[in-house]
Amino acid sequence: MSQAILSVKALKTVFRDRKSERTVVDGIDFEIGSNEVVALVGESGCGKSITSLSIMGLLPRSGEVADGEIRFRGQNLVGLSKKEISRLRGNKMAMIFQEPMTSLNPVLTIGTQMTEGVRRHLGVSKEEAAKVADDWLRRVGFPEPARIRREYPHRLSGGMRQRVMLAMAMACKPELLIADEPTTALDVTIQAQVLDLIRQLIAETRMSVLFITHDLGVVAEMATRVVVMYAGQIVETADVRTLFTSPRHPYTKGLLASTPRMTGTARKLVPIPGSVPPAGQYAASCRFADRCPQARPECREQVPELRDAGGGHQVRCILA
Amino acid sequence: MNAPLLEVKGLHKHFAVGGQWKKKGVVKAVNGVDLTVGRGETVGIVGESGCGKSTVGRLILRLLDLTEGEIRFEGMDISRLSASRMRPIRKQMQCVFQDPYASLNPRMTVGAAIAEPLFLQGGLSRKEATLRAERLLDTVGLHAQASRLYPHEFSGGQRQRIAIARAIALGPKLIVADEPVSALDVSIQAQIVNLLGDLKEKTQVSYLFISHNLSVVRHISDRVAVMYLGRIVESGTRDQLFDNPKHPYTQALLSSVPEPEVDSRRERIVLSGEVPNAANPPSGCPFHPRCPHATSRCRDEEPAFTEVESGHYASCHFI
Ligand SMILES: Nc1ncnc2c1ncn2[C@@H]1O[C@H](COP(=O)(O)OP(=O)(O)OP(=O)(O)O)[C@@H](O)[C@H]1O
Ligand SMILES: Nc1ncnc2c1ncn2[C@@H]1O[C@H](COP(=O)(O)OP(=O)(O)OP(=O)(O)O)[C@@H](O)[C@H]1O
Ligand code: SF4
Ligand SMILES: [Mg+2]
Ligand SMILES: [Mg+2]
Repeated sequence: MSQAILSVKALKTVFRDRKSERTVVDGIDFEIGSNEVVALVGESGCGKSITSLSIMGLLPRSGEVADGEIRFRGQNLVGLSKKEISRLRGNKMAMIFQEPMTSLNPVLTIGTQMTEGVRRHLGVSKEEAAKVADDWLRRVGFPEPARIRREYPHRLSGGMRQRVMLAMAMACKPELLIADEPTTALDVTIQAQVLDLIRQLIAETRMSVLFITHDLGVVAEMATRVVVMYAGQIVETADVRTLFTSPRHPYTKGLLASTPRMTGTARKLVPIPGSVPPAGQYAASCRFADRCPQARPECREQVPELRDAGGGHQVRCILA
Repeated sequence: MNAPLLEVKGLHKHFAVGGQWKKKGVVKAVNGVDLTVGRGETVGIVGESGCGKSTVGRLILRLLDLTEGEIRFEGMDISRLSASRMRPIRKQMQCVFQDPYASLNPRMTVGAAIAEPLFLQGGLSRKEATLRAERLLDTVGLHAQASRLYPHEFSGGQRQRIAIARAIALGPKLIVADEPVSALDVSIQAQIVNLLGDLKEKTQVSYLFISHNLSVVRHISDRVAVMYLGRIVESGTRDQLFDNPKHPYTQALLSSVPEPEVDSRRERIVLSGEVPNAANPPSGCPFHPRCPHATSRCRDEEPAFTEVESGHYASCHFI
């Protein structure tokens, strides 16, 4: 792997209120190389979004990076001032979300929002910014960008809004794009359009991507490498082929067995029994032990290490 | 008793939209749907957001009045029955929705919530109803002690089990399940899909299973109908539809689902354009603006719903 664009080390993010403190991201380590697409997968509440918000410096007030490093091209972002972080954000790093409406201003036209963003980050004239905006709108599939620029966000469909968000993110030429469930709210035929587009942009701009999703189908389609999270920790990481053809963590295996398919015999699904433990309330054991079909007494005696299984494959299981 | 359990013919639901400022218009949310569900059969309805799936379900449950058409349950036309004449039939038709939290009273213990219909409509005494509720919780894979807890004390998957326990309490013949696993993680989704399958084997209940998740529908359904803009554009057995889709929309829809496999050899058909607005549907074949095979005939003339092989129907001029 070439030099890492992003390197996350021992990241720990906690939420505090008057009564309690909960560690929801608990010692995450991963790297994203140049032009790599790393998928972050796992069930609801496992800490995917909080990991990405930690990286972007966008945690809600009650949340805080309590430990660890987040290096972007070698520079540690943990402890940077709000101003310094926001300079990086939108310039070198950009993020798109599941629901574009949360990051679009409902009372401003698409054109105003786009040109403002472009001017802020690229420091160009208004005319120049409008040209950049049009260019990107065309590239995300709006042949008449002037018409879209005049629209308000609520007048566009979900798929159109997500393409606008993508154009806004791309207009600032980010080296790293963080996409948090960007197609989860879309219909599958529209999802196919947007995934196609993102793939095309990755190939053209050679940017790196952190792609968050809970859909293993989307992972197989988009990722070069996969990080599987469970209950705030990484349980397995491998290149995409290894992960799908020889998964080693019982959780990863369980996820694959419980996912229904479009091809092959419609066999009975194999669910993972039980449910995810409540966030931040973990015993000093393997966090998957209560649901694991292979669990042994040893699994409950210590927290298994994330161990190297060779070839960039890491697994957090005493049996693997 | 040769009539199918449920038979829907020419079902229409038009909603008035617009008002003071905008021009008034109608949305033909359901625009001529025919559907049959046999005893012990699971029929899946798939299609993209806004195509009318939930409206079909709510019309069948009589939670919504239809504009036109006929709904027969065990041969009897129930489409215009009064609330009081519907009451005995409601016991036979139950529903499960996407968000079980919304359908469970937060201040009622789970046991009481399940026992309530048994007591009110099932003719059991309170004590019998409570015991029966505990057995139902066991049937859906929860501990009998769960009956004393409140809905917020359960996870999403557990709450869906509770909703299912309540739906099966009176021994219904049909369950309309509208996106019952859509809010759940895959590992939990699989638990619920299997539970529904087991219940069907045990009780011969039929399901109308509404979902936008095609792979889940493939796993659970005997027959499948694909909706587009208020109509069924293709229907057939599970294998006919998934292995040999005929309608260009079905073909694109199925090919769009990403498969969790590297080297998946399926060819992707990426449609251009957006899903049209139901208030302003296209002329001719409703799919023609997005269809890769459309000709001028598709723009002018509505294709008929024709049988392409035994039990397999589609509406496209070129099949
Ligand atoms: N603002 C907040 N205050 C307190 N806890 C929070 C907050 N936001 C998230 N959490 C907790 O942090 C944990 C991780 O949440 P996160 O949003 O990262 O999950 P996720 O993996 O993105 O899940 P999903 O797939 O549902 O989006 C959850 O258990 C959640 O309850
Ligand atoms: N009460 C209502 N008044 C006006 N229009 C309605 C009403 N209910 C539904 N519609 C419209 O009818 C159409 C069909 O809606 P429906 O909820 O049945 O779709 P759906 O297939 O269930 O979609 P989803 O997958 O998003 O749940 C949509 O265009 C919707 O906007
Ligand atoms: S009738 Fe025409 S537009 Fe409609 S699906 Fe067939 S080919 Fe496509
Ligand atoms: Mg999230
Ligand atoms: Mg619906």
